[in-house]
Amino acid sequence: MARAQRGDKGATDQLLRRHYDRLYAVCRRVAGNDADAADGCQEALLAIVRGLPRFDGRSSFKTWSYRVATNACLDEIRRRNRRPIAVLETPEPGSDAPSLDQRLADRLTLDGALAQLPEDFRVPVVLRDVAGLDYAEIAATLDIPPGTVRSRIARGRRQLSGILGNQTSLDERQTE
Amino acid sequence: MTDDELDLLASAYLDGEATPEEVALVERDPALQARVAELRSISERLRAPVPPPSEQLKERQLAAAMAGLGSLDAEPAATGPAHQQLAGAERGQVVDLREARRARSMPRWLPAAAVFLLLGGGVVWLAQSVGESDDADTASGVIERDESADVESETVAADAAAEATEEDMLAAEEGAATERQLAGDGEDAADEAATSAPAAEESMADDAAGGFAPLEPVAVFDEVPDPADVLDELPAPFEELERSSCSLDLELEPGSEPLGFLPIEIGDEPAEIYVVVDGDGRESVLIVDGRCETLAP
Repeated sequence: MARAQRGDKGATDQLLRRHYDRLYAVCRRVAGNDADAADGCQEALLAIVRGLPRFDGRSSFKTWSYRVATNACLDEIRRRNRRPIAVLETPEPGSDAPSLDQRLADRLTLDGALAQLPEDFRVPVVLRDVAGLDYAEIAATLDIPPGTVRSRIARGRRQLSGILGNQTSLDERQTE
Repeated sequence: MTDDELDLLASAYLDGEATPEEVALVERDPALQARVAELRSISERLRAPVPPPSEQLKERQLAAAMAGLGSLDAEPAATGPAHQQLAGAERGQVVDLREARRARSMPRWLPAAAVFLLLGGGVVWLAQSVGESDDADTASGVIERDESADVESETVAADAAAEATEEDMLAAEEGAATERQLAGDGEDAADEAATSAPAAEESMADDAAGGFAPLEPVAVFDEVPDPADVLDELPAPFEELERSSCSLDLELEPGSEPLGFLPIEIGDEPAEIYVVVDGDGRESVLIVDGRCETLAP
């Protein structure tokens, strides 16, 4: 970390590689589609490289890098002046074991549901369930009180449950 | 207990963030247990691995980020639209503004000015050498030629200053040619100087302002626009900061820096819009007036 902060190329490359997958995963869930996730992730990596010399270690690198990635992805979405877009597709009825198509449809359904969440709910939920941060870490990442994190995650999950539940009910009706 | 409170409890329990009292409450209430199970299924769906990007994309993005570090011999790669827009770069190329600014931190006119000073020094030295001669007419003739050549060299240097950095070498070559000319046709040079002097003065005036012609405003507003919306209304690409009036005088939070700017007019007065990035990579918009005083936010 210290070497990366001093501009050591090898150390910086290693640091980025170590964290790339989880940063991309957060961007993917926050952005809701592959294209915006890729753009947001690229911006996040550049911002991390640029910000490394100023990273003061008051928070962990993980928390700081998530904050940078989240901001980069949200900026990317805002810059495009639109909410995340994901195609809502319904899974095909079929066998018990989910096929590739079904898994894809499930992912798209989830993306669509996440896209319907307000940003204030979507980001804490993603940081909790995708990044695995605890409430204190999410609070530090988003610079909001832990109590707010707790309520936003709960409300976000409730909305997700409602959206996905409705989607499931719709699917069941279509199957009948 | 309201639905919100039940969700709050169930969600905190699921995340292991509930207090011991709350845990006990959830575990003895079947309705709450059912709610936990419902939220758990949502959570598990979210935790399903995100399909990774292609290895090619990953490597390209890492290389682009390392190129941003400025010292890795990585090939520029694709990046998001933000940087393309801010730097006005060709799509698909990484242009890190910090690096670009660093590379261009030496003013474009500096090499040309150096050539001009060298030539000026040579002229003075030549005039003094000749002035030591007993023949006054000859001396004044040489000085006259030197002056005309001097003005011409100013013209060459000033014109060169208006060119791009890579043309500075050309300016130096032209300067050398002018120096060679000093020993030759002085009268022709004097005539040329008479016609080119105004242009030289103009170019030198540009130099004093940083070597660039003033930028036309890209938009005119009756009143200070809302920073949150203004970017959507303005065209890309953003200009490089060297051409701005206020990039060095902005009142920014520690760790923040400007990335690019656009010249505008607000109520017939010049103003500039800056995109600023803070230490966390968050971008924001700053609008300043012609005296570099912040208008918004």
